[in-house]
Amino acid sequence: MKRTHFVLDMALMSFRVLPEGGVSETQVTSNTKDVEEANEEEMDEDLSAEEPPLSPSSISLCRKKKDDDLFRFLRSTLKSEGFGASWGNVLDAGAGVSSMCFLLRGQVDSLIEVTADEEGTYGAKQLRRAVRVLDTVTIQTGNWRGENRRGSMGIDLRQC
Amino acid sequence: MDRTFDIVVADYLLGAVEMYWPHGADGMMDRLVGATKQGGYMMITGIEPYEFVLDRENNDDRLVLDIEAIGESAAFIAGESTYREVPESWVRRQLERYGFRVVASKQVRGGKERSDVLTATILNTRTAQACTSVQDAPSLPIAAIFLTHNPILFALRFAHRSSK
Repeated sequence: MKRTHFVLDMALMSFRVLPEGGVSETQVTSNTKDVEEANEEEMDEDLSAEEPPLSPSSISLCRKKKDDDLFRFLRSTLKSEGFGASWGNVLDAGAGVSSMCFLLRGQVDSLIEVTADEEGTYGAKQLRRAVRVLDTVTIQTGNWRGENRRGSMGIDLRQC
Repeated sequence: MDRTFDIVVADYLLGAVEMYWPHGADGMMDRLVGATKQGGYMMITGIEPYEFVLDRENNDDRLVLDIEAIGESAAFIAGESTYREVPESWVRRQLERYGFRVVASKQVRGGKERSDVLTATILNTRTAQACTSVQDAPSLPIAAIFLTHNPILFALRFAHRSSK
């Protein structure tokens, strides 16, 4: 199909630097530029690789949902950063089917999905229905605005 | 919020914040940073603002920018918030301030398949329809009518969402 215009999507992976003396479970090279260059070749190979399977309790919503270029890039980056079988405890601050399926392929220990609406394409209801068989996933509704602001829906992740 | 995570994902989130929290992009970054544990990772995806990518000197690009501007104006008059994408450079500056180190980034140029809705002819037709609607229903807010009767604006506004 003829394209009417082009847009530029971007993905960015960042590491929260530890306080002085802190030790990370993940080894990170100190020179970011070197990391990017070193990873480029490896990522090119990984991007062509097949997507990893969903967990044994995979949900039907994700079976037809393929990761796009940016998600494949992010997965490759995580791998090169030392993440293995599990990605640990994960927060998807702006839930959607795409990001949720991407994260479920990463074998998370726990996953909290936050979405602003109950209804619609990115609504909590659809996501809750989809993950009802997964006890590691929590769908939370909220918009991240301050808890004390009028009309807001504050999020308290401690309850998850 | 005192719970932190190994990985925090903000997938096309920053651009949508404006709809729920006007001028809250920096506040959203506070939340995301607060949720990322020391030694953890934050993954952000987004779309570069059109004005960073499209060239107003190019006729095709200008059409898209003009329609976007009309849509923004109509939404503003109607009292609605719209998406407000932030550029990668802004995200990087914020992350550096918070003590994050960018370990990798990628940009993907994606085409939007909107030839079936976005043509000058259709634009003119829809605009005329909107004008007629205004004349036919003078008691309704003009902006609301314009938004309701101009699917092109909606198609563009949500183009990148539907492409996901």
